[in-house]
Amino acid sequence: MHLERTDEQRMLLESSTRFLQSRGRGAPWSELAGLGWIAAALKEDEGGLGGRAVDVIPICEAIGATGTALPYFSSVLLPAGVLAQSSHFEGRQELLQRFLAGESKLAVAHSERSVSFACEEPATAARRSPGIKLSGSKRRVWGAQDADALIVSAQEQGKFGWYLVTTRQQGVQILRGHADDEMPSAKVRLEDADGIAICADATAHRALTQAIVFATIGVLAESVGCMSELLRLTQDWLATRKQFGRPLAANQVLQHRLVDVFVALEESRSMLNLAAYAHDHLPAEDGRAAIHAAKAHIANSARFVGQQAVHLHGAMGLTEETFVGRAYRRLEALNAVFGGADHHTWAYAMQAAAPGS
Amino acid sequence: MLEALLTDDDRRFRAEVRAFARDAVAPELRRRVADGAELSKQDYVDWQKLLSQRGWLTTTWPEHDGGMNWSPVRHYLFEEELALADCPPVGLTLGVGAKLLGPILCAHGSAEQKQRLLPPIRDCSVWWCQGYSEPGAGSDLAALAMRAVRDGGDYVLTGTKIWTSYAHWADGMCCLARTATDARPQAGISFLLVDMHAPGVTVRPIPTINRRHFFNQVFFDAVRVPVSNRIGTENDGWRIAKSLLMHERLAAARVAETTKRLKLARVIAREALFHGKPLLDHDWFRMQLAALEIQARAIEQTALRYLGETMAGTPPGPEIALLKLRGTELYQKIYDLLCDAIGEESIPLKRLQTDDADIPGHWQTLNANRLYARGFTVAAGSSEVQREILAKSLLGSRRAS
Repeated sequence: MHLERTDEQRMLLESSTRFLQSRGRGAPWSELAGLGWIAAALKEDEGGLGGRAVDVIPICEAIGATGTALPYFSSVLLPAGVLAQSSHFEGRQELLQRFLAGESKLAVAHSERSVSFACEEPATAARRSPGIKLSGSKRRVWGAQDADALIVSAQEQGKFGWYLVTTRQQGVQILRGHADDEMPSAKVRLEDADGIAICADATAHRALTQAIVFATIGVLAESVGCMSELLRLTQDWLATRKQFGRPLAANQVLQHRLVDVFVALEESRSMLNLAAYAHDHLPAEDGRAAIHAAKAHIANSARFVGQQAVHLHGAMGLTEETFVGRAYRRLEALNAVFGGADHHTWAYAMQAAAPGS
Repeated sequence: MLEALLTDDDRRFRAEVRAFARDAVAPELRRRVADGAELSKQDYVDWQKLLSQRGWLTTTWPEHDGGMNWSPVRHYLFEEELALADCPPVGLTLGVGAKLLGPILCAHGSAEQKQRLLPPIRDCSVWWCQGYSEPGAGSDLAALAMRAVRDGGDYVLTGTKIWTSYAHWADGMCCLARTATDARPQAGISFLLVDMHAPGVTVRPIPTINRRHFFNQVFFDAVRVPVSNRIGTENDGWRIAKSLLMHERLAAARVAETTKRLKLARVIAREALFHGKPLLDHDWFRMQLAALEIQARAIEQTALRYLGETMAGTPPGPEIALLKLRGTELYQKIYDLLCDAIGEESIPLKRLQTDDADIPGHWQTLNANRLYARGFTVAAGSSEVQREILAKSLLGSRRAS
């Protein structure tokens, strides 16, 4: 498997990091679009420049390494993932153009009851009268508070489908979360909201799983970026912080702990590569086990790395003022998104037990 | 087994504490404690005053100073029953006056100091905080640098303390300050009581990642402390601060807190759905929960064994450090499991929404408490410090330096 970074990807990582360091979270969405960050998530036939895992990983790593709480995986990768599976629907071209230009923000509204976005059939109902009307309730819709349109999962006469619902209409109620939440989300209530069908049946199921896989890779890359910065900071801290008259790094037990952190990061990077390969080169069915393995392994690693970085920084690591503490909190949030280590270990086991595997 | 250590009188005592704990806490407050929500200073003060009315705030003091002269078993039962009944915690962090300073005053204070300082601790009319750590002196406490320079009848304090829990609530701080610089690090330290309202004291909040305010940095700019506020002799503060009571070392195992959180895990695992059925119906989750429950029993049985040895007059030595080591690590693991159980719902919110009534209160605080618990293996002797104590006791001089 050959997955060395190309020059292009290395440059994207460097320029993204520089941009985030100078402009951070406050950058307007259109500016991100101008950098090609949205185009990176869409294929050429959708007007984009990529749509592969390797195209978005450098961006997500930079987000993680700079600790920018930018909702890239949820506001770009999830919508791009669903739209990639949709065939023609009225206004698709225009929607993609506006999405690409950063003029239209999208959010994907799926989870309702389960504790994981990834694993449920929606109860939200779509009916025709004669236009499509949607009713139901969605919780934890990331980025819903400033979305222009929602991509909503629903059942229409027992068939699973995705629908486009503009937010500025009477039937849509968005109960706003808070802007400085770890991952801003809102609850969405739909009452006979007008919608447009964008895909249904097998395609809709594929859209869900593919969107989750694509966004999961973004989450994993963000974790890896975050972990690599934590390793760097912890190395420096051990070398400079003095206790009992000598640097912390003089303690063998702490040297070995640092090595374990390094090992966890190295393995995580490898698992991210595996997930990227699976997404970009394997049929979805064949690649699924790799995605579960990567999410499980990276979630475990991120917990270990985050907790050790906090611990080795002492009380300092618990403060809002340091990158370390905020990064650990972010890593745990990223772990929880689309299911944690247990969920994916379980899913991996189910996959491995399936006939023909 | 706990039961094997109890006399009939102990059982009657336990029933009395249990009945008190059941009736004394208002249901609303009990629910907030059970939910792991943030309590106000008033909540704690009210609770400590209530305990005080029965003499139960200062149980660990000598009897003639207002203590209860309980056996270690009774102290253990008392703490267990209150925690299990979701009473507000009173420990070395939230009960600095009664649990830390009080016993120190009783042991090392002059008659005048006891007369002046013990009554307001006993009735909880003065709130104390503890100032040991400094930016350059945490685990290595002996490196502390805050100076106390004698000037007539006062010490003049200049320096800073950090990670001071609830300094913003405090009227007084018991702190360690350097009164001699020529001695070996541990020898030149004195134990002083500072009026937090005195000129020159500044409290700066340090926000923590769980978005609650308990940490502070406290700055001392030529703060005058009367010599009459020094406990013990000059330069003897280290010995005074380092003495911990046996029941505190046993309490570091956090047995009752752990038991409660494991029960909570069962509740949550019935509420949280995974692939359409409650988590508790999934073998993989039950196995994980069981593993933590087994570990909890191992810690509890060790604490009880040490308790029994203490009762038999042969108290444990350095090995008791393992209770803090293992108790805090387990507590953190339980919170990881709790947060994992509620999945994406554990992602922290800035503020809870009123319309989130469909998310139970005990879910909403899990992540904040998980993040807070990361401090348990750092504070009050980090896990490395505990392992160092154990290594020293196992290898002694055979450890090559």
